[in-house]
Amino acid sequence: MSGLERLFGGMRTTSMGLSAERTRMDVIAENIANARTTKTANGQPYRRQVVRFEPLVEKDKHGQITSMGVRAAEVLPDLETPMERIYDPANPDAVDGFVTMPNVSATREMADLVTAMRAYEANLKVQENFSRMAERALRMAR
Amino acid sequence: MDISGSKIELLARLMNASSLRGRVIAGNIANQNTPGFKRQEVQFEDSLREALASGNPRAMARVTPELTVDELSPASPDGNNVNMELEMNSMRENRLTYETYATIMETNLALIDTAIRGGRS
Repeated sequence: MSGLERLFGGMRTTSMGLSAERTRMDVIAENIANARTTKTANGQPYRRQVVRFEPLVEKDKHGQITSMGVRAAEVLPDLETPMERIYDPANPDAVDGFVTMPNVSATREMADLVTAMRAYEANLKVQENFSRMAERALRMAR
Repeated sequence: MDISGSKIELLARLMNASSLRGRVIAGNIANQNTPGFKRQEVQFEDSLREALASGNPRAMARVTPELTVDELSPASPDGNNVNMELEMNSMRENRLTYETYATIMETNLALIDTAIRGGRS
């Protein structure tokens, strides 16, 4: 693999990082939007979604493993965090005055959102870095 | 003045190793939030230095960039050991190194050019 191809490979890796982080931000946005959805299509309150990240690996002819990037492998429901039952008789979904609220914590989602944003920015910086390296290599040919 | 190109070939190899390292750093940064991910590194300059010290040209030609997985750096509770500050620093360092090699190569090519033209521009 040539040097320039490696640089472009690196750029592709960062774009995968960018899209994985964006998927995470989308899921966080959905969680926040549904923080008070007490009834979804299946009749249950909204359950918080989490993204599972997975490194993409490549094996070269010497059997050496290189990471090629990352992808948001799947979006899974959060079955660990318990749902809270609150007393709210006025709520149309209340049963005996109690409503089960989604297991979404706005604080936690916001913290996750900041992490995802920082990671997104970091990936952008890496991409800029690669394009500068490639430009430098091209300048030699002038 | 050596115009056989051995110096330029060496610089090209160094630049190749540097771009591979850039790619590996990009992989580390892209996986900063992947649980259980272990950061990777590229070893090249140290092995090349050893080969250079041995003075054996064949040993020098054999040195190739090697990828290693860093299992020693402290990992966070989710098993990921990517340290963002370190990676960003390595990335900048790597770019500057790459640009240095490119500049040296450019100067060398310009010298050969001058030699061919016999000093006339």
